[in-house]
Amino acid sequence: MPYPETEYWNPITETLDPDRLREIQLAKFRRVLAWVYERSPMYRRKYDEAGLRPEDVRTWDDLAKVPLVTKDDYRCQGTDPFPYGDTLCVPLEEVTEYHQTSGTTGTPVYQPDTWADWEWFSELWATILWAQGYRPTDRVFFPFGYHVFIAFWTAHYGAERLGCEVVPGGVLGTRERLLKMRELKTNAFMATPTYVLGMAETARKDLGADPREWGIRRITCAGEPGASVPTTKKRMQDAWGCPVYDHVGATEVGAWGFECRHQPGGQHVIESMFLVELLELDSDRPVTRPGVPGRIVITAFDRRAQPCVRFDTKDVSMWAADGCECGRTWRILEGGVHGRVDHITKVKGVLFSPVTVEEVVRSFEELDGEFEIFVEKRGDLDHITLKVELPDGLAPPDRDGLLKELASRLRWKTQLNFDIQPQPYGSLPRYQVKARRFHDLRKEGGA
Amino acid sequence: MAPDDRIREVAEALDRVASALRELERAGDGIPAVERNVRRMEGTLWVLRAHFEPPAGTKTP
Repeated sequence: MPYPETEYWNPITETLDPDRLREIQLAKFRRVLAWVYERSPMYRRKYDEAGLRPEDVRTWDDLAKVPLVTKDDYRCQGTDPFPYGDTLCVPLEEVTEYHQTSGTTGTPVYQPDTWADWEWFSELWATILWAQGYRPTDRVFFPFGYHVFIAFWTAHYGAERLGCEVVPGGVLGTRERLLKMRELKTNAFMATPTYVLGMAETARKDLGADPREWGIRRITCAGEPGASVPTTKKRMQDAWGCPVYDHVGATEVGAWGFECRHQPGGQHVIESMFLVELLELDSDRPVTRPGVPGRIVITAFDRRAQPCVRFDTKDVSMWAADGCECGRTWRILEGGVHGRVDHITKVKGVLFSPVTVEEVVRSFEELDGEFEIFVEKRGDLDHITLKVELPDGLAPPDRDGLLKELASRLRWKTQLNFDIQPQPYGSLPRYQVKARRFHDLRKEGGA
Repeated sequence: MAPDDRIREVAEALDRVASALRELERAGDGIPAVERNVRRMEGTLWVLRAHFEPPAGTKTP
């Protein structure tokens, strides 16, 4: 066998005793804290304002003294050293990679990386892919437009690092990508959940092919929570006839979590390289009990050009109570990322998460799974609308029965009455990158 | 071998590689092909340090 066949990419760090792991994490946290304080004017300013010096952090209890960082703190970018300004921690000539966030929640963040950072990022992906069963004998397709968004760039290099043969799908259209996958007999690929479903649909409708017969052995998702939403995951696995695994990451953070091949119902945190904290949704108090939702706050220990220290991702998750049969000691976030704090909102006084709607809509085999949610004010009252595509040719009474059952399940799951507006098949937007299906018009000024 | 012993063994081997890289850089002084590739290899070394150095450094005596 040309490579060691173990469950783990790094058998030592992935199975470390939890107490030992915490000791290492604290040491690494203190190191990166000193690194950003010494090198980034943005961090130094922030910590000086809080009266914090890196040496003040000695124990886990001291962590709360370290101010959180949000995307707003990156607004100092655009100045010298251009374009990273006060966030940059290395001389500009050491930067070898530029990427940026999509800017869906505001101004894009510019993310510099050095050679070391790029190696680190692809190493994270190698860790993830190995845990998901990728091996050097795999031929992996990337149906991804290689551009300024980091997306699957580092997954590409992670797969290559692991020893896979990578096939870049680049600027090809969906149909051409599918034909290339079939021609080359690729046996794995990576995409957003929305695109994974869209590709299967195109294969069936445009090519008259059944993608389950193509020999795809595994799919890895990113960009949206879908692969951790049981009904969406099932839909994808049924469409392609193989396991679908989730991963979580962010441009400013790195690829920090993954679902292993045992699919434990959540995502392991790469705790040797990151500190993940959960804080209460409406305060900065830590959440340590399993099953309690919290905001995900992350520190990347080993990124150099622009590491994040206590970065408030505004994503929501919860610690799992149980471990995983894979044997990793890295903790698990149950259900992966459940959504964003700014998407979890009160509608008619009830706490509402759009991911719940995804779970319900995709539990109906009759529906194609596309939907959009709109929340608006009508007078003094909140009004919630769900646009959902119905299959062609669905007529009463089947149509009425389906809509009635959909409304009933939504009410059961969310405690809300939805104004369901059926749409013709194919009329709602299709997304290749992050889908935007939730529109709170109360915040967007639309109503 | 206990995990900590293994970690230390790898970390010590990494130190030797880092020394070899510095020697290579000295030997190739003024040659971009050497200097740039040494920098790149240091990037790979950094990843291995991220795996193994801090654990070795926090070893309780």
